[in-house]
Amino acid sequence: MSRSLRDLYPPLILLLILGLSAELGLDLAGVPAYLCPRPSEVIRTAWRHQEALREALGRTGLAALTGLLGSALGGGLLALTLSLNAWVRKAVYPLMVFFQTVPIVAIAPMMVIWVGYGRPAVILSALIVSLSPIVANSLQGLLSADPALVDLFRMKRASSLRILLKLRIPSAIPQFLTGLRIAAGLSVIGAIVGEFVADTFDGGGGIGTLIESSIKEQETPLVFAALMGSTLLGLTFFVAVGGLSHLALRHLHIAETRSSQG
Amino acid sequence: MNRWFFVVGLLTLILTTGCDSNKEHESGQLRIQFDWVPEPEFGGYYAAELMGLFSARNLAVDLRPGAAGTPVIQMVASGQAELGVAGADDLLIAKSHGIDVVPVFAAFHDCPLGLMIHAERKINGVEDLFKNGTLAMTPGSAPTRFLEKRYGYHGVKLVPYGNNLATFMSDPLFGQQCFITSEPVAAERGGVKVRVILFKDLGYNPYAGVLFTRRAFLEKHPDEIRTLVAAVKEGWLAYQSDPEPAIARMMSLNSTMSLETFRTATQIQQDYLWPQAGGHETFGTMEASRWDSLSKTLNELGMTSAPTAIGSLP
Amino acid sequence: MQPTPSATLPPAPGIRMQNLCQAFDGRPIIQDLDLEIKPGEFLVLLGPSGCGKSTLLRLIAGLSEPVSGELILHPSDPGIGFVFQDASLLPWRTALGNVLLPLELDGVPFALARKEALRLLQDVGLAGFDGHFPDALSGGMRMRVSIARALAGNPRLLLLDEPFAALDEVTRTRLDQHLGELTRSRGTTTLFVTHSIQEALALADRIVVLSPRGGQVLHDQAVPLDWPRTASHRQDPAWQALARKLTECLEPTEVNP
Repeated sequence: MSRSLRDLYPPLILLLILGLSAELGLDLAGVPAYLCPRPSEVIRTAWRHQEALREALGRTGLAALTGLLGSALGGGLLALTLSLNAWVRKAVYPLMVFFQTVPIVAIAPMMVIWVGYGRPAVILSALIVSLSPIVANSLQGLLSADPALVDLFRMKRASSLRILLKLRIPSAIPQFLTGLRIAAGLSVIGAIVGEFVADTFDGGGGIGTLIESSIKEQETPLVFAALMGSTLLGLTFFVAVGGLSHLALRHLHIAETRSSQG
Repeated sequence: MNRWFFVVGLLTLILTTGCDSNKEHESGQLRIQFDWVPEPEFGGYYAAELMGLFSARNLAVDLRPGAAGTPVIQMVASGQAELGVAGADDLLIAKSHGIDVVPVFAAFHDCPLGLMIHAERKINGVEDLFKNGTLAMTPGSAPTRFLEKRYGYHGVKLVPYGNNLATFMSDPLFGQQCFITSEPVAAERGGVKVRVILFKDLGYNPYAGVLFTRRAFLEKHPDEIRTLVAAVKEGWLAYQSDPEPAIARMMSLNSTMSLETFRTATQIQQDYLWPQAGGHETFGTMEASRWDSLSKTLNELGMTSAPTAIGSLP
Repeated sequence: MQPTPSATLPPAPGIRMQNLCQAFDGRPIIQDLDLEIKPGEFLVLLGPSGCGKSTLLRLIAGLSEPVSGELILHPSDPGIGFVFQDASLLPWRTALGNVLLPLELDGVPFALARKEALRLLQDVGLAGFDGHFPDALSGGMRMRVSIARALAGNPRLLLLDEPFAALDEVTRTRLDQHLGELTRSRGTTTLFVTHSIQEALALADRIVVLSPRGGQVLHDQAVPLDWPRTASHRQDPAWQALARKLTECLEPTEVNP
């Protein structure tokens, strides 16, 4: 893992440079703190509110993770179903595109009507947002199994189910993981949007609610700290899924596929 | 989705503000930034514009509609607009964060915000609303904090306030914050009898629709502001006696609202515009004692770091 | 190497094609092909890319149905091994696991299958590599695994579609040599597609040159060269004469498609 540690340096150094130039630049330009808090102030605020941030991020993270697991399972199964029949694929695919393009903010209020306010709606929001990259990538993986190998199975008169289990599903694992990696970041966004619209916050809310309330309280540094926290959460998801997928593929001896989005 | 817009708005502001936050209005124009689309709550301004009340006083006024999440206070403070319209509570909170804003005119003497519940809901007192059912409120807002302090949320499910009435309509135990001129009208039109409990009747009554500017600007242009306030007041009085021309103007800018809605809202808001006891001359004026008590309340709610004195028109 | 004695195996099939036609989307690939292949014969199909060689292999393998005409295998179900252009191994399986695959699909009991797979790996010169995953094998070794896989289950008909085209010259020559020995010791009927004349001569009992379009037999050439044919045999006048003849046969087809 020393390679991946070394990979961390360039972005960290860039982040440091950006942070320092923002700190100095904002002062030099005389931008008042209520417009854009200094990075140092954001970090101080994050430190001061670390408990609230941790708690909110924990809630949001758990909802995003649950949604992500749901879409991994549901998306994987949906892709399997779609891979079996070209007619069904043609029928369902436009709906998938709908899911991919419809802004979650637009359907979030509907989710309240479907499942009511609370964590289930937040989880559903994370799930819906992260579903389509998993379905699209897994489906592509399932359909693009080596045609020569498909022929080999067919020459042995293997059933479609057998081809699916022994060839298509393992072949699709890299693409499935690529989809999962894209979905990981999206699931965090989906959870936050869900919290904006559909969460209950009487028992303390997630990071979305914290963003909203710190805007109302005009605590701009806390708004930025919360945004920073949600970015970190998304990044953590992305890196964790990336690491898992790296390990899984190495275990399976499959070359990793890199996606432009991922 | 006010939150994203707010953050995007702030970032845009940072990028466009550049160095000098007290940049002068070189053209002599007075830009008034609203926090929402043209609606009856800004009726007086559009009436004044339409009747030439600004130009008659040699004022070049630019009325700027807002949208969800428009950071009005920050825009005025940073010189993107000379004046803005906001709630008294938001102004005091801004003030406690070091943004030096000064209120100059309060269109709404009484706060038109309240809780909307189903009329048939059986409650023995307001406190019952916080024991069960669902309540949609803006997280972190002063009224949300106020109700929490006064009643406590014991058993009620708190959910974010949004611009969607569907859940309210279908759930008799659902209550939500509302503008007296807006949601109750829509709900009744949708066939649900509602009851509104105003925040002011629960002890929370900030001025609303407050016209404000930044102190630096006021100190440089006191006469201009005074003249503007006079024109705005005259505009409001004109809107009260005949709102139709301004309504037509606002409808041309905001096609999402029907004529009927404009008229109903105009009618409802009348009761909130000026003190019932006072006459026309008291319209728009503010009492220092009410600012002081609001300031105390906000401080008790933990929304400001210390009781904040806010100056007013000299 | 201990080749399986052919005596214990079922007979190798003969193949007869008559007026065989195949088309895709209305575009004819093979038109009225007449060709006969004798049991145990090593036939090389030679011709430029796109002349329908791969299509013909797929027809024989039963992977597609002809539009019209006759294609008869006798005996009809000989067991077919197929070697593709790429090794096409399952990357998540070891060399052994890959050779086991067709046996698994045939329902051969594991212990028996494992024994056969290990023996096949030995036959193709990969003894001791059974636990290696494809990503740890060279291109030539992967192709050897692919051949072992094709031989699993003792197919009496072996179809190879330009299997060594992607390999370097030395590896290719060595594999040709090895393949020739394996098929002859087993007496398998073998169809081998290539566009290399040297490779064709190194392997074939008989070479059939197909026309660039329509997949018809342009030239049918017996190869009466001695076996085994090592690299040094390429200097023999008989070899060179055949090579010249085949080149002449192929050349006009390349300039005049």
